Amino acid sequence: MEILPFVLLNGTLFGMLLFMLAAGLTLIYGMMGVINFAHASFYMLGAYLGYQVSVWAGFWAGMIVVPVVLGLAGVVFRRVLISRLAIEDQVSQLLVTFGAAMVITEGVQIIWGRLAVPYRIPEEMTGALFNVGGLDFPIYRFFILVVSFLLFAVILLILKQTRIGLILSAAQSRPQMVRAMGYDLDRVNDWVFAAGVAVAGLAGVMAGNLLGVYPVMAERITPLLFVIVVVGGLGSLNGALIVALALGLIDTAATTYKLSAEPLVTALFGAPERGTFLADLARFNTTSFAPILPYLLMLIVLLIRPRGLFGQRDL
Amino acid sequence: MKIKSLLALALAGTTALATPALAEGTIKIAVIEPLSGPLAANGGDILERFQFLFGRVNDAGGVLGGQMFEVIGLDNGWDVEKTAQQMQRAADEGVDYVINGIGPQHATAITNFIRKHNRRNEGAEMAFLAHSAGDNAITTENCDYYQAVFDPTVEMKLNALISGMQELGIEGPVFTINPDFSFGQTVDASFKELAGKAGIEIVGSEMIAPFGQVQDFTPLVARIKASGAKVVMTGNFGPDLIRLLNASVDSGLDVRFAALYGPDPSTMAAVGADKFEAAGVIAPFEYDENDTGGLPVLEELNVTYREVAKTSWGIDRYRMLVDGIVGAIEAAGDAEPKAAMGSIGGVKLTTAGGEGYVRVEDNQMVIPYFIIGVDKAAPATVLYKGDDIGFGWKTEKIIPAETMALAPTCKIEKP
Repeated sequence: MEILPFVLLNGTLFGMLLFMLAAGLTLIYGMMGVINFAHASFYMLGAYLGYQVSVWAGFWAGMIVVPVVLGLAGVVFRRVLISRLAIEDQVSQLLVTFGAAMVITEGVQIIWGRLAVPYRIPEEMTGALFNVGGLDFPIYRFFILVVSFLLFAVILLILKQTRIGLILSAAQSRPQMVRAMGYDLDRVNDWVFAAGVAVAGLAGVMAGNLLGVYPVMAERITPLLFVIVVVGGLGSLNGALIVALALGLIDTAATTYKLSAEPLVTALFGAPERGTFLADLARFNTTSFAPILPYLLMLIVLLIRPRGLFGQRDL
Repeated sequence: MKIKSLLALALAGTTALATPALAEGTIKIAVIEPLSGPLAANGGDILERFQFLFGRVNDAGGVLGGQMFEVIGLDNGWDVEKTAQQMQRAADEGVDYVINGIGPQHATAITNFIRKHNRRNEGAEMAFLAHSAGDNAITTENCDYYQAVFDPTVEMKLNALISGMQELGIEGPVFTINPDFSFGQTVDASFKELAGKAGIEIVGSEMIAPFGQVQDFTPLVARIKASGAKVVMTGNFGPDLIRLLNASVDSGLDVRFAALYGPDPSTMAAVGADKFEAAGVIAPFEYDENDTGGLPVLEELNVTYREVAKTSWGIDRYRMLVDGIVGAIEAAGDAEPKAAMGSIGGVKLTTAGGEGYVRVEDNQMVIPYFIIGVDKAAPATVLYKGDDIGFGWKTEKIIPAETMALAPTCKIEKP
C-alpha cells in the first residue's frame, strides 16, 4: 500500500505523455477532419531531433528549438500533403498520412541508424526529488509532469478564454460561416496543425531520454493514441485528457497489483498440468492483460457509444 | 489487378538483382539473416563479421591446401517464409553450409528444409551451422548429423550465470522479468528450475509484452521493491531493457541486474555508464574484450576489427564457428558437408577462457564462459560502428567448460 503514491505519480506521468500526443491528433481532427496517422512520427522526430540538438547545444536548446522546427515542418506537411485532400476522402487521408509515417520511420533510420541513440537526461535534472515508500521520484519525471500540465492549462486557456479559441470552436462546427465572416480558415488550420505537431515534438524531446529513442517508437505508440482519441471522442480535448490519464493509471495499476487467475483455477479444478488448456487459463493475469485493455475499452465504447465519451458527432 | 501484377514485376526485379553469382570450385557459405527490416542492423553486422572471418581464412591460404571459402548474404527480411525461399535459392546455388542465428523460428525452418533436402539430394547435402542457440532445440532434442550449434544453450548460459552469481555472492532473492514469447518463456522456466536446484530464492517474476510494447516500467519497479528482491534476472533486450534499467535506476531501486542482453552496444549507449554501474549489471558472455586470456588471435582481432569495421570485436563465437568448420574440413580431408560434418564433433576450439570443443554426441559447442561486470575504467571501451560507448566490461568470473557442459540430451545418428 505504501507504494501507492509512487504508482499514482508514475501512472499520471505516463498518462500526461500520452495526452500530449493525443491532444494534437484530436485537435487536428476536430478542425480539419483529418486523421493523421503520421502524428506519432512527429513525436519520434521530436525525440531524435531533441537528441541531436542536445549533442550540439544541450537539452534546453532542444526544448525550444525542436517544437519550433517541427511546428514549421507541420505547416509544410499540411500545405503539401493534407490540404490537397478532400475531407470526405478518408481513404486518401489514410494512405497519405500512413505513407508519410513510413517515410519518416525509414528517414530517421537512414540518418540516425537502426539502433537506439544515446539520448540522456540533462545533468542538472538527474537525482531524486523525493522518496515515496522507499522509491525515488526523479526530478526529471516531475519536470515532465509540470510541463505537461502547464501545456494543458495553456491550451485550455487559449481555447476557452481567447478570441482565437472562439474562432477555433466556431470553425469546428460552422466552417462556412467562419469563412464568410472574413477569417482565413487556411491560416487558422496552419496554426492548429503547427501547434499539434509542436506539442507532439515536445513530448518526444522530453520522453525520448526516458523511454529510449529508436525507429519503432512511433509505431508502438500510434495504436494507443487512436484508442485515446476514439474513446475520448474525436475532436474533444477534455476527452483526450481524461482517457489518457485513465489509460496511464489503469495500465500502471494492472501491472503493479497483479491479479492472477491461477488461485481461482487451482481452487476450482486442482493444480493444472503443463501444456493443458487449464494451464493456459491459469497463466491469465492482469499484468499480461494490461496491454490489451485499451483496445478492449475502445471496442466497448465503439459498440455502445460510437461518438466516444465526450464526442460531438458519431464516427 | 494491374497494381498486383506491377508489384509482382517489381518484386521479381529486385530478387533477380539480389541473386548472387557464385564461383565454381569454392566452398559456399550462405549467411541467411535479416538484412532489411527492423533487425537489419543486427543481420548486417553478422554478415560483415563472417565475411571478415572467412576472408582471413582465405588470406591465409584457405583450407585443404588452397580451397577457398565464398560467403554470400541472403536476406530473409525477418520473415520465416522468406527464410524458406532463401534456403531454396541456396540449394539451387549449390551452397554447402548455411549460417543463421537470429530468431529460433528461422532456425527451425532451416533445419526442416535441410532434412528434406538431404534426404532427396544425395551427394549435394547441405549443413546448418547455428551461431546462436536462442531457445531452439537444435542440439537438445532435434540434433542431427548435418547441424551444429556454436553458442551455449539457454540452459548452459543460465547455469553459468547461477554458478557465477553464487561464487560472487550475488545470491538473491531474485525477481525475474522476461519477454513473453518462446525465448523469454524458456529463459524464465530454465532459470527457475536451475535456481531451485541451487537453492536461490525467487520472490517474484513477470512476463512482459516484448519489443517495446510496455512504455512504462515503474509499476514493475514498485513490484520489485515490494517483493524485497536484491537481484533482477532478465532476458529483456532492446527498448525493453533500456526502459527497465532507466526506470529502476531513476527510482533508486537497490538491486543488481543479471541481464542476458546487457552487453548489447545499443542498450549500453542508450542507458549510459553511470546507470549501468548503478544497476550493477552482470551478464554471462563468451568473452570479455579486456581479458583475452593471452590468446594472440583475440589480441589481433581486438585491434584489427576496430580498424576495419570501427566496431570492437566483442563477440567471439562467430570465430569459433569458423574455426570449427575449418577444423572439421581439415580433419575430414574433404570440404563436402557429408564428410566434414562427421568430423565437426570433437573439434577443439581455442577461447579466451581456455580450451573448448564441439561435443561429439550432439554437435553442441562447449566452451568456458565469462561472467562479466560493468567497468567504467576499462582500458578497452566498447566501440560500435564508429561510436565509442565510453565504457566496457571486466571479467568477474570464468566458468570452466566442465561446469558449462550439462549432460547431452540428444544423440546424433550417423547417416
